[in-house]
Parts: sequence; structure tokens; C-alpha cells
Amino acid sequence: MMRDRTPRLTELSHSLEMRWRFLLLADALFTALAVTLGASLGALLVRVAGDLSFSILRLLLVLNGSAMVVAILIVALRRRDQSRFFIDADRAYGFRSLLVSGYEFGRRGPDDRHDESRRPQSADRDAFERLVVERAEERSGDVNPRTVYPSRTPKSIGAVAALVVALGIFLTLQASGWFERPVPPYAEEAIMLEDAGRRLAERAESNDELRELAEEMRRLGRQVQRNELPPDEARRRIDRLNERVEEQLDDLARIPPIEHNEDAQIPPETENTIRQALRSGMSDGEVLEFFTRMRSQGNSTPDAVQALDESTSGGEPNASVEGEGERAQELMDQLESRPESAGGDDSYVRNPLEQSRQALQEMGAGRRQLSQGDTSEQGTPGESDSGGTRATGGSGDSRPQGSQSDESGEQESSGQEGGTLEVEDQMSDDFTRSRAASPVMREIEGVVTDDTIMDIIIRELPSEATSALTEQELDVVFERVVEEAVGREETPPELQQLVRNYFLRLTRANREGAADEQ
Amino acid sequence: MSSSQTAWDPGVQERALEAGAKVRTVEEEIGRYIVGHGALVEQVLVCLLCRGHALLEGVPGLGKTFLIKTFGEVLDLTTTRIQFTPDLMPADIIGTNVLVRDEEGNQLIRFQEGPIFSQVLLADEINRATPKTQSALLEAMQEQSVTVAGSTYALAPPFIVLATQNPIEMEGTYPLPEAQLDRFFFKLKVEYPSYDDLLKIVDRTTTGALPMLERILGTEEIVEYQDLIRAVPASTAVLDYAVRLVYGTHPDRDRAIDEVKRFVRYGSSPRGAQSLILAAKVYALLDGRFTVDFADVRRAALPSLRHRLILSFQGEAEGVDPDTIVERVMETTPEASR
Repeated sequence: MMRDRTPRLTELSHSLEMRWRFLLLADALFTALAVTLGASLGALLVRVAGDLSFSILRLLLVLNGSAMVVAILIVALRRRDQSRFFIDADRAYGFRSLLVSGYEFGRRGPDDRHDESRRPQSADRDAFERLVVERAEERSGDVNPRTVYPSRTPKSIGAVAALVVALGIFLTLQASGWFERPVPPYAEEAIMLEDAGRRLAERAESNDELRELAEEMRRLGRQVQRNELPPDEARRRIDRLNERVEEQLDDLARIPPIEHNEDAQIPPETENTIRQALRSGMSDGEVLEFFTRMRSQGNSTPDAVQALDESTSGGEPNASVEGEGERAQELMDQLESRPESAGGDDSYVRNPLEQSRQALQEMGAGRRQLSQGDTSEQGTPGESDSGGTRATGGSGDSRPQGSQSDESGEQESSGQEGGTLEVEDQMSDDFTRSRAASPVMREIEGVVTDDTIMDIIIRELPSEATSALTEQELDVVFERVVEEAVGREETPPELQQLVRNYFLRLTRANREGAADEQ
Repeated sequence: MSSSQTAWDPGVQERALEAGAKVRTVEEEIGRYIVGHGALVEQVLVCLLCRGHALLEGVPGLGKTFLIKTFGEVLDLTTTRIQFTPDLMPADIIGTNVLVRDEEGNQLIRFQEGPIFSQVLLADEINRATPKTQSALLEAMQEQSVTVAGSTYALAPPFIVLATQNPIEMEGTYPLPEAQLDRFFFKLKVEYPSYDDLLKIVDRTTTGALPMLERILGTEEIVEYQDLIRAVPASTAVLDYAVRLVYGTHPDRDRAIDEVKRFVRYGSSPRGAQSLILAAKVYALLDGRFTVDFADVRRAALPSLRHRLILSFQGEAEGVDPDTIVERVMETTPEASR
């Protein structure tokens, strides 16, 4: 094994390389930081411009982490010839290539020296090389890596400083609301409209006209929320939609109420059908829902029985379930005791329509006010809690016109409250009606994550006597659903609070409705 | 014990230092006679130690001829001077076979040596001779020998050709062909003396006899130093740098700088790289160092490369100075290869 003739130079080369890599890493990390900050700033600008929603902190962490890892990898994988470290050291100390020559000559074996020209090396040359190696070893002790590679300011520090300042300015401006877009006029009503459209779409089933109307409600609601429509077009479409909603409500009003009489009694064979449905796995609520829906669409009880027979007779009959007789009897009693069940319930589609009418009339009233140049009342999302967007104030004009909901006996809105409060009242009516009609909902936790949880909760709220959840527990569940929905829907940041308030207001309306019933 | 260990000669350090000191003494001695041409004297000595030849270019009256004559005297070398003219023939330089009678009256053909048979040949105004005559020097400069009528005659070492030419008086001249130019180790520019130097020149040459010159170096010492110079080692990094400099003068290289691409038709020959390294070794030794530095290479770059660049038509038309191009190549070539 050949003896290392240049131990000091070898050690020095390691020291120089370590120092070089350290400075390189510092440079790379600063460059990575600059890239991260630049990308973050760009992403924030895109977020503001594109109305996107994502966490700034998470973005910074992900970008910075990735950039740091890349920088470290680059530095670790970078290769450099050892002679270059000695060239730098020679230059720093004015050694006139002594170290680089000594290192090279010292590492050459005897064979290497004689091989380069295939001629025997002269004695003088060998002597010169030994002299150079000796001197280089001697002088290498004087070399300090910090002198060869002095600490320096990273090249990208200027860019980092500028970007930090820019980011700080940006975040400051953002915190002060500089970039927040004004809340679109009547965003709250637009959300209500979209929600009503969604509910109507779920209930319209095969009714193409209702489905098309529901789709237009959702589309218009979305567009108004995003402020995508020019005022003229918005006005035109609001008016047209309002007319169509009125027409639908008028059509519903023309359906004569079916009186509660003996002919309309639940036929005896209904019990068998209900038992069959229970064996097929339907819950009590689903059975009641089915009958209610059939009635609301104008079908008689025998028709409903026949339809239920058809839908449940496809498979093998199951064995009787536990308490089947009692449950079937109870359901029969409920069906018989509910005039709306016996006589047909149009509230299933009426409620969304009335909700949409409410929203449309709010927007219509606001539009008139807006046309008079009064735009200063449009508040921020936070302000909307205090009624900042209630364009109609306490005007009773915004109340639902010709409300058919009176037929089902729910409480009426006072007309003395603002437009938004009227919405609450409307929702309270909905809850109240559902309470009276719905059976016990046993497994509310099982449907929490369903997209339609909102509607199910509203429709399936149990009567107090048979509820498996306390009202407070239900509120907690509901609030959780609201938070999940807001987070999941990629709602624009400035509208998130508005949406949250809207749904939480439903919770309060629920509680107030329950209190009224008591 | 390895062969390299047996070759170890601790006395080389003393010999190297002595060589450097002697050469410096020669410079000082010539400096007593020649005013203001210290760098030029050093470069001529470098040529001598590298077994090369020098082409001195300068306007008339700057002391070129005087310098060379002084050079020969201080070095104790035989010196001849040939004034090149258009009617000068090769035989006038090399020599020729002549018919002579011996003591017994027999006629013999004998080679009559020309003036080239000396150790220092001053070829004054070399560009005034025809190319045929100029090329008569080719073999002598490269092989250190001449061939006449099939017989080859060696020239006595150290043999050095110091040619001069006038850059402004071009009428009736024959510019040296590229092959001839390439054989000159250095092309040296003789600059006009500075104000102070001119004062000294005027004073020294008009006030009395010039001082007597001392002979510092003899033939044997010069030949020994020539061998010693070649033993000076150069690291791979320095060799690589010299090669990259030479490559940098080639316009067809990918990394050639813009000036080279525009103004240069052909870059330096490999002799340019050899010249760079050999001259750098002399500079290192003269500085008391035993290995070559990048700065030594740079120091040798201008005299080694300027006459080896063949300018393009555009370069000639725009009067581009090859020195400018070589300097730009040095600026743009890093010491360490990437």
C-alpha cells in the first residue's frame, strides 16, 4: 500500500471542501428561501385575483420545505475536483500554484511519473517535484479555510429582503382588508336562493319543470354570489325567476285541499304493505316520507300502497322484524292522525319555492334601492351579522306574497322584522312543520357526513318526545356540519363567514321554533 | 528502493537558484549597456533558455541590432549578423560547396560555411529577403542543422536566431509566411523608450566610451540551464490552463469568444502551447520557484501567441491588434476548468 506523502495536504483538502460546501449550502438555502418567498407572494396574488382559498401558512411550509430539501440535495450531490480547492488556496495566500502542484505531485506514484511521456523522468524533475511536495506540505499548515473561503453575504439576500418586505406589505394590506372584495350585493339572499334551488332539485324528482326551475335558482344564486352578472341582466333574470316561482306557487295553491274524511282513511291493506316495507329494511321515517311524498304529488293512498308494493315486492320476502306489528300500527296511526298526510302535503316542494321567492324579493327590493345610487350600505361579511345587508330594513314589502304556508298552520312572520329575519321565520316554519310530521330520527350521527345532511336534518327533525338527541346536542352536530360544509365547499374567504352565519342562524331559528311550540 | 528515490538530487535546488541568479546578472549587465529594454532583454533570455528564436519588431533606431550584439557579447557566444536584402540568396546564409585546391594542388569540393554557423544569428530586417531565402532558415531554426547538397551539418549549441523587422516600412518587403512565423518562439515588440530612458540613452551615447561588458555565461552553462528548465514540473491544472488558452484562440471552438470568431481565421498552433509552458517554466525558475504558476503562463501568453494568430479579412481590414485578442482570451479563460 502506497504511503500518503501528503497527509497535511489531504487534511487541508477536506477542510477546504467542508468550508466550501457550507458556504454553498448557505447560498442554496437563501436562494431556496427567495424562491419560496417569490412563489408564496405569487400564490397569494393568484389567490386574491382568482378568488381561491388555501392556507398561507401551509403553503409557506410546503414550498419552503420542498425548496430546502432540493437545495440540500443539490449541495450534497455537487462534485468538485480537489485541485480546485488548492487553486483557491494558492490564490488566497499567493502561493503561486505551490499547493495544487504539491498535492498533484505528492499523489502521483512512481509509475505515474514515468508514464506520462513514456520516457524516463529526469533526476532533476524528480528532485523538483519532491521539493515542491515538501514545500507545499510545509506551507499547508498556514492555510485557514476561512481565509480561502471567507464568509460572505449570500447572493440572494437582497432578493430575500425585498421579497420579505413585499410579503409583509402584502399581508399587512390583506389584514387591513385592502384586497377584500366588496361582498356582492345580496350575497346572503343569493346563498338562500341557491340553497332553495338545491332543495327543490332534490324534491322535484321527475318533474322537469321544477328541476329546470331549481337549476336556474341555483345558477342565479351562484352568479349573484360571485357578482358575475351585469346589473341589467341580473335584474331581468331575477324578475323572470320570480315570476316563474310565483306561477309554481299559484299552481300549488290551485290544488284543492283534500278533506279529512272516512273515504280518505288509510286502507286496511296498507298495514300489510307497511309491514312488507319494514321487512325490506326501510325505516319508519322512510315509510312516512314515502307516503308523504306520494300524497304531495297528488297520488291517493291506494296509489301509494300500490307503488310501495311494487317497490318492495321485487326480492324475497324477509322474515318478520322485531316489533313489526307495533311499528306498523304506530305508523298507521300517524298516517291517520295527520290531516296533511291524508289530504296530501304540497309543502314538500312549496317550502323551497317560498324560500326562493323570499330571496328573490329581497334582491328585487335591494336592486331598486341600488338603482337609486345607495351602495354604501353594502357591508362586509362580518357586518352582515348586524344586519348590514338588510336592504329592505323593516319593510313588510319583502314578506312572501300570498303565502300558502298558512294552510298548514305554521306561524307567520311578523312583518315587522327585517328581510333577513323574515328568512329566519320562514325557516322556522319549515322546522315546525317538519317536527310535526317526522318520526324519531334515531341515528343522526350516521348521516352527519352526508352532503344532504342539511336537508335531512330539517326534514327529519324529531318531535321532542321521541328525540334521541337533545336540542343542544343537535345544535353541536349542526354547527359541526356547518363548519365541515364551509371548509369543504371552497367558499371564497370573504363569503365564508356569511355562509356560516346563515346556517347557524337556522340553528337559532330551530331553537326559537321549539320554544314557540312549547 | 524505487527508481524515483534513487533519482533524488538535493543539489538541484542550489543549481536552480544559481541559474536564476546568473540569468539575472546577465540582465543587469546588458542593462548597463541597453537602457529601457529590461523586459525585452528578459524575454530574449527566455527564448535562449527555451532553445527558441525571437522575432523583434520595431521601428528603426530603437536599438534592436545593438541589443542583440550586446546580448552575444555578454553571453560569450559567437555572433553573426546578416542584413537581409531582396537579392540575398539562401547560399549566402547557409553556405555552399566550393572548389578548392589542397596543398598538393588537388582540386577538392569543400563546404564553405555561411554566416548561419554561429550561436547567435542576427537576421536584420528579415522581411526584406525573398521567401525563398527566408525559408532557408527553416531547417536551421527547427532542427539546429542545415543540409547542403545532401550533407547535413549540425549547428553549434546554443543556436538562437534573433530576427528583426520593421512594421511600418512595408514597401519592397516580403511578409514572413505563417510557417516561418510559427518557428519563432517569441515575437517581441520593441517599444519606443520612455522620456527618462531616452534621456539616459542620449547621455550615455554622447558623453564618451561605453563601459566594457563582462562575459557572464558560457556555452556549457547555457546548455545546462536549458536542460534544467525542461525539468521544472508543471501541474496538470497549469498545463490544462495553457491548452485552454490556446484553444481559446480558435474561432471554430464552441466556447470561442466573439472577438475570436469575428477577427481570427486560424488560432495558435500547438507550438504556441509548448511555448507557453516552456517560457512559464523559465519565469518560475527566475522567480526561485520550482513549479509553474498560472501567472507564469499568462506572462508568456502575448509574446507566444500574438504571431501565431492569423487574422481574418475583417480583422485585417479593421486593423485589429492580435494582442487585444490574446488579452481578451486570457480575461475569459478561468484558471480552473469547469
